[in-house]
Amino acid sequence: MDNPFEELAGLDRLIHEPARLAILTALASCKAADFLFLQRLTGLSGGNLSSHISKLEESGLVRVEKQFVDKRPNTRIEISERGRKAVREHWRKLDHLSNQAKEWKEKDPE
Amino acid sequence: MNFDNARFITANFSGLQGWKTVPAGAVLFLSALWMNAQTGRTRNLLPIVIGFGVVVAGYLLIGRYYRRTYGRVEPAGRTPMKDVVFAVLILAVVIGALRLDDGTLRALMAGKAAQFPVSMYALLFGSVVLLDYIRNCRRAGVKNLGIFPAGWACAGGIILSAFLPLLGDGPAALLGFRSVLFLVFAIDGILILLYSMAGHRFLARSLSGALEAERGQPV
Repeated sequence: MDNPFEELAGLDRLIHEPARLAILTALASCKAADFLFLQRLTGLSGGNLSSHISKLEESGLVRVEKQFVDKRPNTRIEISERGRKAVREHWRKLDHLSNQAKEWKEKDPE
Repeated sequence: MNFDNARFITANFSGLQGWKTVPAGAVLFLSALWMNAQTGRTRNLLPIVIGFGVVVAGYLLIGRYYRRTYGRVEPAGRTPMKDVVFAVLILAVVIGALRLDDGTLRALMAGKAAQFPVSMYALLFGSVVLLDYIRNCRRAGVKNLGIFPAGWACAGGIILSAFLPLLGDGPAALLGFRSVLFLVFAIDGILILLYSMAGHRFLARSLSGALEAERGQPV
């Protein structure tokens, strides 16, 4: 078995960054959510959240739609099919690594 | 960040908006007390109509507060058509169960053996709440079903209350209820109130808005 800690380096950093992983994990549990909900959930500032969502949008993992709801501007964020698969796969890898790490024993250098 | 919490809240966002169901719990509790106070053959239905109006108005107005404070989530796997079909189905089941309970109530108050010696309304309602909780956990990929203990505790309490008629009218009479079914409705009203408050507390604590701007450090 390979050292599981070495495999950590192979994780997609675009998804693995904690704030983006939180955003994608939440979005994968619903059809869509708005900016305010994600801000409340992640505790990020507006500017920081906006920056993370832009990165995810550029990578095609989420779709962003600006709209008016009750005469108020509203930003709706929806995870794409690609994003849904990516975050599912990412969690599968993390679970796998977590299990490996539990079983892992450091090999004798000799 | 607790990822299981994030999944659960997102998948169950509407169900955790507890203040929305506080009027329903309060109206059920007060209805039980009101029905208990009614004697004679004629019944004034106006309080029931007013209570129903309060529940609907409360649900809509408080929903608006949640949307403005905590944002919006569109649940997965739901469409307006599905929602309407589901609501009609639930309404039909509730009305059917209440009719069965009415038959049970009349039989018990006349001193006869009831056809269904349990509260069908409480049994069905509690089962729906419990199944909905489990389904939402599964849909969100949450493995720990105890993530929101008040969820299954209240649902379990409502299901258990359905079997109170098996104990006879004795415990109800001790508490001043003319029938054990009125006691069941009163208990269910209280349990819905508790569930509502626990749901809001869970949501408010998880979405506390402890923004990084306020903490002065990036997440």
